[in-house]
Amino acid sequence: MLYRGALPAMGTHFEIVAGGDDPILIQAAVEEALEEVSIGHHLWNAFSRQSLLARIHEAGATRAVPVDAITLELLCHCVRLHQQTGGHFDPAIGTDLVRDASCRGMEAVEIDRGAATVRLLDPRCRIDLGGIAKGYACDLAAQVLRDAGIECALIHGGTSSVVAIGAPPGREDWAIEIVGGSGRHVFLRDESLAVSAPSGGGGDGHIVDPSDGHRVPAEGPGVMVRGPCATDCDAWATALTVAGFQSGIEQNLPERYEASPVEATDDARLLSLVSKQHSSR
Amino acid sequence: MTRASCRSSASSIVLGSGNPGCHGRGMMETDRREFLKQGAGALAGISLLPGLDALGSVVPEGLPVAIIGMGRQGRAIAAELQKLGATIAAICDSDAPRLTSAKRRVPDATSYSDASQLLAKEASVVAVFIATPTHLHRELVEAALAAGKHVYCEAPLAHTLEDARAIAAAARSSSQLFQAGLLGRSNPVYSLARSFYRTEAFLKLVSMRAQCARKTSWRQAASTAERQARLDWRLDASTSLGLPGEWGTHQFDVIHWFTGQYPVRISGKGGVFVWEDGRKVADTVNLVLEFPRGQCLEYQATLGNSYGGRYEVLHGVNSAFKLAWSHGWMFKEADAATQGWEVYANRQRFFNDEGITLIADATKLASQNKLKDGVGLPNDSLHYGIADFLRSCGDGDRIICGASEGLRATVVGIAAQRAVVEGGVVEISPDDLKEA
Repeated sequence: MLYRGALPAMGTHFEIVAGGDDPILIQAAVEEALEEVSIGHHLWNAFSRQSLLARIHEAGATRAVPVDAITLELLCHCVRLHQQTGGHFDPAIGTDLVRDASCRGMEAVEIDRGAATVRLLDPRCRIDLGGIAKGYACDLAAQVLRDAGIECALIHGGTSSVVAIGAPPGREDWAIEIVGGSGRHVFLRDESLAVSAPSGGGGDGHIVDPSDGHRVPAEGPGVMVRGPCATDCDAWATALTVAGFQSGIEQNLPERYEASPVEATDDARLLSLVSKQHSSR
Repeated sequence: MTRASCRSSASSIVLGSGNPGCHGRGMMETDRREFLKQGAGALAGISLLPGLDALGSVVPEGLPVAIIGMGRQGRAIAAELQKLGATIAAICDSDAPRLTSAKRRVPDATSYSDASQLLAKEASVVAVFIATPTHLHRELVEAALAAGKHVYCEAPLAHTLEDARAIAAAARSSSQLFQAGLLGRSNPVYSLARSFYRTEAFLKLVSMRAQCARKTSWRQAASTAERQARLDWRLDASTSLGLPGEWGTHQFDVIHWFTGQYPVRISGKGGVFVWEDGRKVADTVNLVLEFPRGQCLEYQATLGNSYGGRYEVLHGVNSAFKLAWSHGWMFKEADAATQGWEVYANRQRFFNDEGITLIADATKLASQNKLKDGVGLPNDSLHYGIADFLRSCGDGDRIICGASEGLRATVVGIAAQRAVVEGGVVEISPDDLKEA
């Protein structure tokens, strides 16, 4: 049997479909996994005074702010992915710095792993984890499900970040249709997927190019990245949407990750997941 | 600022704002500045607490602590301790998968599967947070206090009167600090509301209503039947205080703290209406707690529907308070006197009613013209409870919620669960609330 749980978080909708023989275990595991997402939502919402990010922004350069372990890990991922993508993924280009080329971006975020603190070296800097947090939350939720012994589940955050655990009962893998890709299907088993497209957020799109502070034009193509970790897929999809294919940065994709362009449509970010979950080949 | 001076300031503002030439689009910039300045002054009347920044800054950094019990609550405590800059030196859980999972969140802590080992070996640990299942608290509290540690114990303190009284006795006879995890008492929004409760802004208590609604099975994920049974202690009638004890205790204590009274009689009903999975502990309960002067608290809790979430409402003659842990509002009666400051307060509409948002750090925020940013607390209630405890450990500040308060709230929680189980009325005598 399949059990479904859902949660509004991070400005979108997270959903988990999990299968197995023990309905009590599945339900409890899905609830625990969604709780992880909820924790992330409260910590990383850049627009809420209740979030940890708001405290980091408020402290600015004046003091280092102690952070919890999962936020610290997420920010360390951000630093790593910022470097891997040649700076095209930069969550420290917040909305306040759009069109401000003097912004130092992620380089202005001082992370002290030993002390578990974060400080903004440039007080204008604003961290916006919209390009990575959904993927990271999906990874955290997947870890909870695996710890509980769940061997069949699909997790998605806003249909743009996906983690597939095992496959649906009687199937080889989870089938996911890419709406912006002319009905193209992607098949996942113990793998992650993220899509990103510049459409949304008004006329100029919602993704900021860290190289010049401008928004990436909304009509530009989108990107799909698949690989072992949803966190990395999410960040790489954002970076490739900014840089575009043929920019060369796709050469830096780690082993076992692959990227491909997605046709631009009005809603190119959308994957069609749950409605297609039984349509595995 | 005294309340009298605040009112004087407020009345002058109200008169000014009532002048058609002084408000709306016709207001001169200088008038507006003066208006805001006076408004900020008046707002001082509602900021009777230290600012939220100050609350954070006095917590001693790096205090070595340990957590026993690394389930959801233990992990939440760990996250707040990390945000407060405490050093989590050790963690403990007898459940191996949970301990492994917790290690990922607290990688630098030494992990133990046996609490007695932790207490014996971690000499540098100053304070211990106990977040185990309720029925395991007693032995751990007694051992931790005996080992010379300050103790923060989750509420309810215990699942039986005997254990709760033993915990209170151990805390009383120890030279170490003991804090019960009843978080309303540390919540800045609640403290602010309570300061109004004692004034004409509220006047006389009429009635009370509270609820806690979540859609959850209340089960823990475990891959073996043995582990499932151990982790699902909340669903075991022999170890669980059910919804009245596990959730209600915290909300009942808010009422105790505001009114200074404890219920004398509790009637209850409940049943398994949603999660028909063999459980015996009710998934939905309705209670009426009658207080000494006859006012009642109507309480509902359910695992079947999340509408409305968790809140408490106190109805007074002049206003009602709705307290929802991260947020709070005051709903004034039309015939209640104008206090002045509310002219500038942030408001939110709820259908036909308009609530004045209770903002704990109002003075500072108003002076920065950021009053709206203050809507909602910047941290979970747990953060403030832990901060209070750490501050007490660091500089000997008085404990916000000690063993006596914890015991009395637990007694009420136990009585409420009994009322639900028996489907009848349970009387609480003054002797029941005594420590010995």
